Amino acid sequence: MIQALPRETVFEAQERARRATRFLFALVLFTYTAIFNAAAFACIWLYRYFNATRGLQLQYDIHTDPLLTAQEILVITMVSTSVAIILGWLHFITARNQPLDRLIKLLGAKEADPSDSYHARFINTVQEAEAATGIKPIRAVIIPDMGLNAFSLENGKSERVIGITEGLLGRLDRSELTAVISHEAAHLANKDSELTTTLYSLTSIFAKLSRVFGNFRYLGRTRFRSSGRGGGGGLALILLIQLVLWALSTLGCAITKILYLAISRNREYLADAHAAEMCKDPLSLAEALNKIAASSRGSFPTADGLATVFIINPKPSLLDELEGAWANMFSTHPPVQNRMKKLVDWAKANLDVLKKKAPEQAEPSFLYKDEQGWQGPASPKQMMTEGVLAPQTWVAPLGTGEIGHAADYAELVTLLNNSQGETGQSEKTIQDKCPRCKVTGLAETEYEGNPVLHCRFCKGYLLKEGALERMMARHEKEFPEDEILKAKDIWLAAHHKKLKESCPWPHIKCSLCGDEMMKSFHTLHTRVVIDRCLKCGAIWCDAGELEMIQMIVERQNLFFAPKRV
Amino acid sequence: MENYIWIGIGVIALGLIAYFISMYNTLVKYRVETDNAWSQIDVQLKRRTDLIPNLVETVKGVMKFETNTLTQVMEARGRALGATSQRDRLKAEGEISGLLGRLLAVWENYPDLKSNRNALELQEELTTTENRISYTRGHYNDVVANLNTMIVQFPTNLVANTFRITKREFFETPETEKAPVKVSL
Repeated sequence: MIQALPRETVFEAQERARRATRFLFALVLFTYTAIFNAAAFACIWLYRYFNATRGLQLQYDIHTDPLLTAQEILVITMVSTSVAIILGWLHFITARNQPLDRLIKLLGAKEADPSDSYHARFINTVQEAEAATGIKPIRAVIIPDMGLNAFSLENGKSERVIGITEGLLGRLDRSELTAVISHEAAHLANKDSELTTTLYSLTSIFAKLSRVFGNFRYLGRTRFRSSGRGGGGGLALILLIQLVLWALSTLGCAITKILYLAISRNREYLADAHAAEMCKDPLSLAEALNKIAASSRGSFPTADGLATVFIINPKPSLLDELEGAWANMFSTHPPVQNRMKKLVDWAKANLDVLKKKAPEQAEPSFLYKDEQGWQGPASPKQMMTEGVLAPQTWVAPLGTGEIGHAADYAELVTLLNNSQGETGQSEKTIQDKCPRCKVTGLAETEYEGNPVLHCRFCKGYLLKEGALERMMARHEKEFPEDEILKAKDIWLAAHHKKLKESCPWPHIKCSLCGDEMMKSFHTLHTRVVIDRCLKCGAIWCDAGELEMIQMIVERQNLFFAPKRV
Repeated sequence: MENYIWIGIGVIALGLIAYFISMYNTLVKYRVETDNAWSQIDVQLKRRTDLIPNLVETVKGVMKFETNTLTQVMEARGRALGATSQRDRLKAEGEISGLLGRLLAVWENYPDLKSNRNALELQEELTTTENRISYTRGHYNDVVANLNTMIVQFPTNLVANTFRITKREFFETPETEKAPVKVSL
């Protein structure tokens, strides 16, 4: 009798994950068909019952006995199972053959630029993954987001893509990058996209049915007849059937969702193990996970169900930090600590190796709550620069389960106190002085997914080359109508002014390269005066100019050129 | 009644034939994959051969102590390109790997190379080419393992024997590459 090794090997881990997936997937299929069958039986039984008890007159000659014969049971089962399979298949096919470009654009990803050395390294690593797995071709895209994350996608037409954020690309060294890419390539090799698309479409079938059957609003409009044949009884029957169908579809949705999450977690473990086998370097993968877990994982428009394609869930939630069966059941990814522990075990090391080389943030990380919900994790300095830190902001230190006000935590209090005194000199910011007001430094912040330099005092923006064009294509910011009307007035008035009159500000020096910046119109259409650096392409927008350009470009139909009188 | 038996036998026979056909198809697919994987190794080796002259030109002026290694690399490359037999070719490629490994190992001794943009790009290209060569070899071995397993397992071995589909050899590292890289500091 061969005893299992005390430590699970990489190969055993993969086998176990595959077996678990098969079991769970069988459960999903069983639940799916069982719910459809149950729905069919319930409807028919209710129908028969109503016939038997209320004596509704009908055209067909059927039994009034509510019980069904064996033959009928068989027929009903086969019909409802076929309906379930056909419905699932159609839904799956439509979801599966979506062109990848839409999803890639949704995430804001662009093709990697070979002239950039980091991008070139990324492209090379993806091609190494192609060589190792034999899967060709794999597109390499970059998400220009400062958060740390990576993803991989495949659709039914065998289009594959691996993407990474700018933030992560800048933080990893070559062996860690190889490890992360091999994790994503492992997902592609194991056809995880296909699996999750299948499961997700099953879940969404139930969700859609549940929404359809949950529409009880017509009840308010129908008038109930007090008695009588056909009228009241018929309505009660329809109501009851709808109730049963709604209950069943909601139940189906819940069960399928929980199983889908369980399968998703299994596949993450599988991908980790496969990646360790491919790159022979589990320690690097563990270090990469360590870096990602302690930082912001990027702000993406996460359509529901898109979170699974990433290496760590981009939506931060306290559930991900806590471990324990309850939290585990509702998360798409396994707890990071568990994943790191397994990888470190395979490397025959222990977690202390990682903690020592933890990211430069020896400072604690916090999750913080703003209007959109929980964000982060971020270090106190990052929270300060982004302007989200106030004494009454709700924060949660990473790794613990507690939540409190920012004023309760010593590190944050010192930062807050420092910032009250001087205007913006609280911490070292990226550039020394704002080129316009020279009062405070420029802080690195994000505008529509772009890293920009922002002056907190005069509200100006310094954009690097190419950033303005990228922003024009993004419509994240919504402008209220009255602001747009004001913008229109300003724009109309600007049409008759020359350059010198439009902008009385003096010339400024570019913070990035020191060259003097030139004032010019953004375009002859928008007539917004911005400062351009001719040497490095950087653009300086004073307060309101960037928003003005965006409004004009986005609402083209409002901003027609006035007729020359 | 008899008809049903004949129909049943016919269906089973058809099923068996379809099963054997699918086994044959899988075997042939694996064989083609093996050939493909082998040629992928060649693609990466050729990529390295093309990079070497560029590398030697770029670092010749800076790496004063490695002129010997650089000359040997060019010679080995010439031998690899002109090799007639598979064994000679593998031997030459193995020598190139060893020499390039030595070069990359002493790259750090020349701080001038760090500021040279061409040299940095070349270092990246060489690193990735070496990685790709090892990954394609590993992938070739994986595919050969799949093929050999199928050939030996029952019932596919019946089909394999009938159609003379034979096992392939794994890629063995040539002896010259197995020796540790000698770096003189």
